[in-house]
Amino acid sequence: MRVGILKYQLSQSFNAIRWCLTFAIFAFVAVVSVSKYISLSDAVAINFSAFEITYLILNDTVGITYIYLPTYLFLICGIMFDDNFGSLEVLRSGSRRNWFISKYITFIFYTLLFFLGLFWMNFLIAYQVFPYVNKWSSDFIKVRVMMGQQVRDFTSSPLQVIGTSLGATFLHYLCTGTVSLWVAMKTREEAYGLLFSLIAGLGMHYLLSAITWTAQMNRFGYLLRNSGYFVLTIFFLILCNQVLHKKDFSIERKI
Amino acid sequence: MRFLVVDFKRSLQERNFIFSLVLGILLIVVSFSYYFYGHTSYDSWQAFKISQSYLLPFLAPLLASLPYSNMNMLEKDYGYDTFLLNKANTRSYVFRRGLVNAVAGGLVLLLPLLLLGGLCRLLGPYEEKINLVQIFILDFLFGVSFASFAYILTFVNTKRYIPLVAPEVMYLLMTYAFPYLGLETYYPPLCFSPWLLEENVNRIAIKEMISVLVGVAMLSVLLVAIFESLRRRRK
Repeated sequence: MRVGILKYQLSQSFNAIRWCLTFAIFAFVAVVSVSKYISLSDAVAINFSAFEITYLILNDTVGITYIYLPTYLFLICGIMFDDNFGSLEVLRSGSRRNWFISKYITFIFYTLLFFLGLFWMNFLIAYQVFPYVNKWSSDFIKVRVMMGQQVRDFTSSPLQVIGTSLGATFLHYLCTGTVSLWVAMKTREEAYGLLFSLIAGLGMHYLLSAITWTAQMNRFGYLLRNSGYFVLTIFFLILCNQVLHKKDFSIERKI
Repeated sequence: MRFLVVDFKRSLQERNFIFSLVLGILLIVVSFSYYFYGHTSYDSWQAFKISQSYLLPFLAPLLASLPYSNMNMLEKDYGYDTFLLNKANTRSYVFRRGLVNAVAGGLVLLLPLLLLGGLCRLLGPYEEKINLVQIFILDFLFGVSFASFAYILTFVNTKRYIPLVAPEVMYLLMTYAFPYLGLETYYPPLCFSPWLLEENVNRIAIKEMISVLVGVAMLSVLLVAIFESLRRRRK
């Protein structure tokens, strides 16, 4: 029954227009971001590897604030509840818990798809111009050290550090999306879900970038960030579970 | 006329309007505190400029779209529009609702700014009040245009949240993209806070932008009203 409900959720909630718009936005922003580093490379002869550039793009605060987070929230907005907040779907799933689990698995799948699309688009475009090397480029180390980073942060390989940071980025989106689900369930308004989760997502990002332990740009710092986002996700999941069992779903709406 | 008055009073009592207003006021208070605690000497006009452009431009389209733009979708869901259309024809219903929505969207941005103007006045007199009035008019029209765009979206999609969030998402995308496309003169937040990019401020361009925004919005509402009445007549 769960597999059937999952298939149903995926087929009902997929919105081709929003996904096409999302990938078009990714392509545009990736080209604009990579061209910024090409200009930098031409102007001051600083060369980073494709992996390092992808890392910088995905962690760029302006990009997260104006593009990636709003686009992600717009993409998942309404996918989960689509104006009806359960009703017949809850009955078909057999229980509220089953219904929410199938919704959340669908949500995780879309978040993963979004994140992979985001990473691959940026990496592929950066790889057209910059090489992929599995060690830190000397220019990258010089620039980061000038910006205040410790030299010892570069003892781990780029794959380990950047890989862990990508995990933090994914968990950041997952956590923000979970906040959106909780607010939407609590208020029955998807727009409020987007608004509050956008503010919460930006708040989490800035807060974890400001705390000394989690602001470290090394493997340990990113592992701490991952743990922070994971704990927050579980916390909001617990809140979702509370709303799930207390809220009455409108059976007569949009059947 | 009676419909306009009743609908307008209704829009001011909507939960979404009050929520948007409270959020706008909260953003203004936080921005004002940021200026107040970040400076040792105070100037009322500087205070207004910095507070008005700190947080509000980021969420202004969402605040303008939230209050009343998708009310017609809610009325259609519950069948209430049938009662309203018994008393008025479709064209006038759609157009008048568009008008009320536009004013509500403008007011939700204007009222917090009036409060900010009052707060900043406590720091000292304004040298040129005309600048303040111009900003109030600009931001009211900003709210009018985005609320109208949200309203138009209610006729081209079936999801109630899309008209509320789509204007904000498109606005943020254009805010990111325009500087990279060499369109700094048309940077969207300049229609709300003209001093955000001081080196690119062009009063004529801003007036053109806001005129186009409001003109296109109002014309689209009129066209939608005509098409909707034709569509219903065919049914």
